[in-house]
Amino acid sequence: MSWIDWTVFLGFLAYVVIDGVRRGRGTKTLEGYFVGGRTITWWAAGLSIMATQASAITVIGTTGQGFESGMEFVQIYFGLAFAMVLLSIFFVPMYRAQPILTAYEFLERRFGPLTRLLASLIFLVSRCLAFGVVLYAPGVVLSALLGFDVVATVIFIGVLTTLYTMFGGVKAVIATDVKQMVVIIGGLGLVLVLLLIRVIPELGFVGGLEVLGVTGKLNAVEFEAASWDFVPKGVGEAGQSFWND
Amino acid sequence: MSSATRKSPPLGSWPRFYALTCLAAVSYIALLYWFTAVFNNPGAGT
Repeated sequence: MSWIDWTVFLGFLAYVVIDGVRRGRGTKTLEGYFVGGRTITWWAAGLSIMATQASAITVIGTTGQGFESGMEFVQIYFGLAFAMVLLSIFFVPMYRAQPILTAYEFLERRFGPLTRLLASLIFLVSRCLAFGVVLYAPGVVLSALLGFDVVATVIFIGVLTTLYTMFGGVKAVIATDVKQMVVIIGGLGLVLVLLLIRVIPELGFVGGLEVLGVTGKLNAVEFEAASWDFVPKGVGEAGQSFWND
Repeated sequence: MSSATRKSPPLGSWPRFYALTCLAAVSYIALLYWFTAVFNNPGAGT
């Protein structure tokens, strides 16, 4: 990496963390820490949810999966938009109508403390296991780019995110999520534009789609059953190759 | 509820915004279906 890359990388990292902590610094109450004093704007909350769902695995893993076995895996995401709309209509008003700070408080009020304990335990255990992979994926990429040890990179990312989350609360998390999401969307948009600028003069738009079709990559919405193994076509191989890598 | 959270969404109301979200999702799925139906032909020309 050249000095310009290092400047942009370190500058953005410092800006995101410092601004996140600064925004959450005035938080004195539990309500401020957990729900941002209920003053978070809808677009910031929406971008933060997107950033939470789109981990480094989404950007790194799915790209590789698309290259390996085509776009069939995007079917998994088709229901997300509809699910979010249903959640917004039926569940969000229910949560907001009550003076609670977490979903687990709601479970306790509705079903009792044991349900809260069990749900919290399942969430924490599953998140801890998932975060191992979520931290490892960018750790591998960053270690390759920066020339650092993978373990050191994973610890660096983990400590940094834990610190600004601990000190800043949800306001810090949302402030950093929004900035990261803007960079991710902007970066992906830029990649798409550069790709089209290079491909269209050579093949044309339709020609590019035909090449993708011949190589079997445009299989996003197929209705034929590939087998009776109860495993969607390609998912087994792609999943295996991704997890092995 | 704060003024920030009461601010209107694009299109003036949440139901309209939800409808737009669903329409965008359906359009995206339809586009991908069109790509698959028209262009996906693995092994053709080999």
